[in-house]
Amino acid sequence: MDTVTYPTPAAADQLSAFSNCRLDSHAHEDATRRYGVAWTPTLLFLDAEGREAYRFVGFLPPEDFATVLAKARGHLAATAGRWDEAERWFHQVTGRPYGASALYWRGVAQARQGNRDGFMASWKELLEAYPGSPWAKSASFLAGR
Amino acid sequence: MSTATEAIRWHRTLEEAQADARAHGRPVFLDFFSPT
Repeated sequence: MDTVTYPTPAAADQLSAFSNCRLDSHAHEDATRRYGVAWTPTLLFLDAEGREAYRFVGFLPPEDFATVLAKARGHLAATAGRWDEAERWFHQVTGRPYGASALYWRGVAQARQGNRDGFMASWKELLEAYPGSPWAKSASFLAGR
Repeated sequence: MSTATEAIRWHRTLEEAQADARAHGRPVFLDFFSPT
């Protein structure tokens, strides 16, 4: 991450919206244990009180960095109950490999705002665009409707 | 190739990052890494 992804101007720009910290997992065993870190890199997205909203395990290449950060911001907003903001972030996540989960969560965000039509449309789009994905299977009870 | 990430502001501890997050109303990005 520190030799490939972080040096890119885009990554620096995207991380300017966060308060950033890097911890050596060997030197910070308490934090590593507290967050259940089993492999590195593990990227955690936390609220200011340290509550985890999303994690990504493994190397994250520059071309996927913005997508994963948008998804993480969707989950941060959802965890805080800011469902309109969550919907906007998930809407930005399109295409493989994260599009299926983003469509699922966009639907959840719409449902939590009482937007049943939007929810149905998002999950139908999920079923059509990503058939066979685990996320589509989770939404499959809508298929017959 | 640079190994530093000079353009990104990194806090030395999670506690510092959380204090900064509270002050600025933003979330925390925490990267656990293994030195190579």
